[in-house]
Amino acid sequence: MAALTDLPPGLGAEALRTSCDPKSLGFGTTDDLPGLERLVGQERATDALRLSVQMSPHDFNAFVLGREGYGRHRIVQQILAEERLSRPVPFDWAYVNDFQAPHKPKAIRLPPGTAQDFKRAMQDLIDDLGNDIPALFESDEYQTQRRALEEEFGSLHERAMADFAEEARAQDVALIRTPMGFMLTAIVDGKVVKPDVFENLDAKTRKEIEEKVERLQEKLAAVLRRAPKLEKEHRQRLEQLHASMAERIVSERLQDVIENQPSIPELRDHLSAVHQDIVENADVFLAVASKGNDGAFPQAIKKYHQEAEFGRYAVNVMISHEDENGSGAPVVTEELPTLGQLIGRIEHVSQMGALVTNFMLIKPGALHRANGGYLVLDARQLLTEPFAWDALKRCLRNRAITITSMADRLSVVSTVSLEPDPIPLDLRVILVGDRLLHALLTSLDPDFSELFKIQADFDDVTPRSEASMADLAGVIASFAKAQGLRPISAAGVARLLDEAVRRAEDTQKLSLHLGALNDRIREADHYADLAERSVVEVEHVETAVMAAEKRASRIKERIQEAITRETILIETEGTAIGQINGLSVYDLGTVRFGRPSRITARVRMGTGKFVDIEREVELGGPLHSKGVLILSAYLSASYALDVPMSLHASIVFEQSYGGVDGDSASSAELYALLSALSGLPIRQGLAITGSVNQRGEVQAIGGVNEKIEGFFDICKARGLTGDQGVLIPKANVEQLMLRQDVVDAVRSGSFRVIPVSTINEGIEILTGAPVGMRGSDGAFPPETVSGRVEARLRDFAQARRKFTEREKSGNDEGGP
Amino acid sequence: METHPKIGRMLVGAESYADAEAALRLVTILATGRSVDLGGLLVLDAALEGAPRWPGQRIVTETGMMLLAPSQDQMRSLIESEARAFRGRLNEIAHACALGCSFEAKTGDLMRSIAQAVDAWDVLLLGHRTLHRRVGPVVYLDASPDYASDARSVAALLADALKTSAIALDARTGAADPKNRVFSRIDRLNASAVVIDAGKKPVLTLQELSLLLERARCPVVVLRVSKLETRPKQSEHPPPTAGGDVG
Repeated sequence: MAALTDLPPGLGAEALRTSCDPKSLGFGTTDDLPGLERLVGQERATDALRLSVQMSPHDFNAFVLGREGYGRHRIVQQILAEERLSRPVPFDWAYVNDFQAPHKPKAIRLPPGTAQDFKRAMQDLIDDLGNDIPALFESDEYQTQRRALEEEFGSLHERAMADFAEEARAQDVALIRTPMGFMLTAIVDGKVVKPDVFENLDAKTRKEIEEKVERLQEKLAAVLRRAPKLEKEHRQRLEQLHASMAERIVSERLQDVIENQPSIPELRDHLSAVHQDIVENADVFLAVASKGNDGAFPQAIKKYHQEAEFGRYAVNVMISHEDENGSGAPVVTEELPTLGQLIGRIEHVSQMGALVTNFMLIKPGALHRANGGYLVLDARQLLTEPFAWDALKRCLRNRAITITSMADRLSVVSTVSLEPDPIPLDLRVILVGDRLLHALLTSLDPDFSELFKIQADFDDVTPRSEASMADLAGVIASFAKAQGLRPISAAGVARLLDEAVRRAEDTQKLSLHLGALNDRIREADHYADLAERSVVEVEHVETAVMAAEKRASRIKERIQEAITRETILIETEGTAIGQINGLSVYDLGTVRFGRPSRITARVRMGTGKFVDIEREVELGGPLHSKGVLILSAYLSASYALDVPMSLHASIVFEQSYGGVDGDSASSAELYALLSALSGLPIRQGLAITGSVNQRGEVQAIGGVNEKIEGFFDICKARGLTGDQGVLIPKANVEQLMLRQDVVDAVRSGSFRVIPVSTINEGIEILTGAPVGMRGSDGAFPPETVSGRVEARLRDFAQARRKFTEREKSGNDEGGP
Repeated sequence: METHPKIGRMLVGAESYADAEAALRLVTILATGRSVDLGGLLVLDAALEGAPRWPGQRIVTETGMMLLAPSQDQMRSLIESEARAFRGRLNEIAHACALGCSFEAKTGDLMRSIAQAVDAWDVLLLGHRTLHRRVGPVVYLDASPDYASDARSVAALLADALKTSAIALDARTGAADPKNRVFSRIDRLNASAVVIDAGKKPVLTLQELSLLLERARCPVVVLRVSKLETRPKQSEHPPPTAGGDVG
């Protein structure tokens, strides 16, 4: 076996961390900066959002998609705050009673800021009439007219009875009152005739008496039957009197209202209906006045409009823009978009055990408040509220707000309800959500694409440049100022920018996760406060960054402890055949860290089968399986092409019990397999990350910084030897933003980061043996990695052939 | 200052419960806040029992319906029923106002029965059913300047409770044929009640009182009923005929 070649030096320290130079920022502290209110690097999203906000078609609503903490809500509010000023203050809306159909309240559109005026005017009207109408009906004028009417009709009846009685007397007929009514009988000689006297009268006289009495009976019946008619006539005359009296005072008062309210046909119609209703129900005012005055104030200033009897004349102001003159269109953010909060609701009150409602119990929702402007909703919250998404779509589609309760939808409550007039809807809805929700809605809900035509996609990163770094520094400055924090030194800002680069996982990019950045700023300010410093320095930022990592590193530390105590077996020195340190990343949401995993490969003669043990036990995800299949294809296509693949290989992540996914270990698995086949040991001081393709090229992977740091921490804990390091894909070099201690170790030569672009490069470094290229005879040199691998595969093929022949001849001998 | 007449004992006289009911409403008003004894006298008109019947004869109800005249047996049942209702209502009022109460029912002539009873009572209320719901004024007879006080104050009390007005009918003796004028006027007046003071002029006989009740078609309240002229004075007031005016 050839001697191990020296390890390549790997990347220089300067390539491992591209730090921001505080001097290049050009300021002392953030107090020197004007601050930057706009977002950095989100031009695509902000342009889309502005387009949605500025366009007039109703279906150009926007879905703002992006990850949490990237300033989506802030920029939405910022843009809407600017754009709202260019749109007019929308109309006010109020519900009023429909006197013909009280279950269908009428919606009235009013000029901006006038709904409350209208409401107060109606209250004043009722208060005035509450005094005026009783006073009117107590007046001598009314009493005189009424008495005259009463007397007229009373006399009409009495005269009829008197006339009848006179006629009866004239015809000698007596009117006898009986318990059942009146009985007529004849009078003879001034006395009521007795039966024996009557019987003794001659037949003619008797007949005359009988006819006379019967005729008068009919007449009396006619007189008495006329009484109800007279009653009705009297009632009508009395109502006419009331109406004419009330009419005058109601007209006068309503005229005041009409003159002071905008000239709107719907309003005029309503006031006309109010007029008619009050005139018809003037007695209600008398009844309320007769209840007396419960309060301490005089009756004259009693608030009649608060009485339940006058609720029918009230105005339910759904939306009023009274105090928003000139402030533009409304911007409403609904944090709890339930069905009721969104489209409004009809409340009920309990009366005598029954649930009742009226138009005053209609409550506005976010759509009412935002009508004519903008409504911002969190997509996830909206979609998790029952019926809310469906209701929103219906309102947007119909361009009207129709209030329906969940109870009605589910038919769970049977009680009196209302059907208010739908209110025309003209607003722009901005949904804020993540990309997954957007994708799901696009693919699963056909209405979504119709109603939300604009997607404002927020970037996670922005290219790193002097300009973008200056912009981000401005954002940091504005954060500090807006929150009343200490100014941050240029070095502190540079450290924060480095953190943004590291989070972007690319030295050419800056992360736009402003939420995390803001968290670090506030935490650093706290440490500066503890240190009684007036400026947040770089060490405070560093402390904040490290403290945040430490807080989330319990699991990371437990794993590292298990490795250093050799509970988890990881070699960081020496060599081993078919064994390699793969690297994986754990993402726990708040923290990401890398850790090494031992990957082993075993080979023997077989039939070309590769056993991925992770997959066999269903611990391997599809991407991992894909990686294993690719490396087996690479092996099959690269070696012993003229003989059948007679290998049986097994690959496993040792001591892995939680499942493996991703293909970033596929190059490590291939190296382990090549080592097992060639019998060449692999340097255990090296760890490997990178995926491989069928051509043997090593491809970029994610989490490169965490992976390197994870292995570095293990090596450091055991003592750095100088032969330790990590092989990374060359394509990942630009993403290196390693911790300073790693950079320092590399600078001192005690650790190394080696980029590789092919499997051949990697295996040479790992084994210290040349990989070998096919010669003119098509064979690999024998002492190279490739030569040994091919020879082993040929041996397997030979052995398999011999085995097959032996088996065949055995069968032939034993045959018939 | 007006003085209220003595109304410690009130007798309600009527020929049926329908008539008595209107008077009992007035009793409730007058008894309020006073300690009084109540009496009820139901006298079914003997003329009703003794009136001749023929196939075409009918009873005309207050709503104008025409019913067959009741038989003698039906009439007896009716009297009992009327008496029960009258007594029941009287007891209710007495119970509610903590009053003493007596009741008598019989057949005969109401005015004659009253003539026998008047000495024991301060106020007599003669019942007459109301034929419509129009509340007319309470009328009191005003015979002289010094006369009006008791009748007027009672009329005012009733008018106030009935939410109507009290009006006076001029019955001064100096006027020409004052009683006949009163009867003629009251015949065509929609009165809710008529109040007279038997202790004052014009003094009415029982026959005149009966005529007044017939013409007024409403309850008649007689104050100082013991002063009522229970025998007709031929010289001054010939007994009125049932079918004719007082002459």
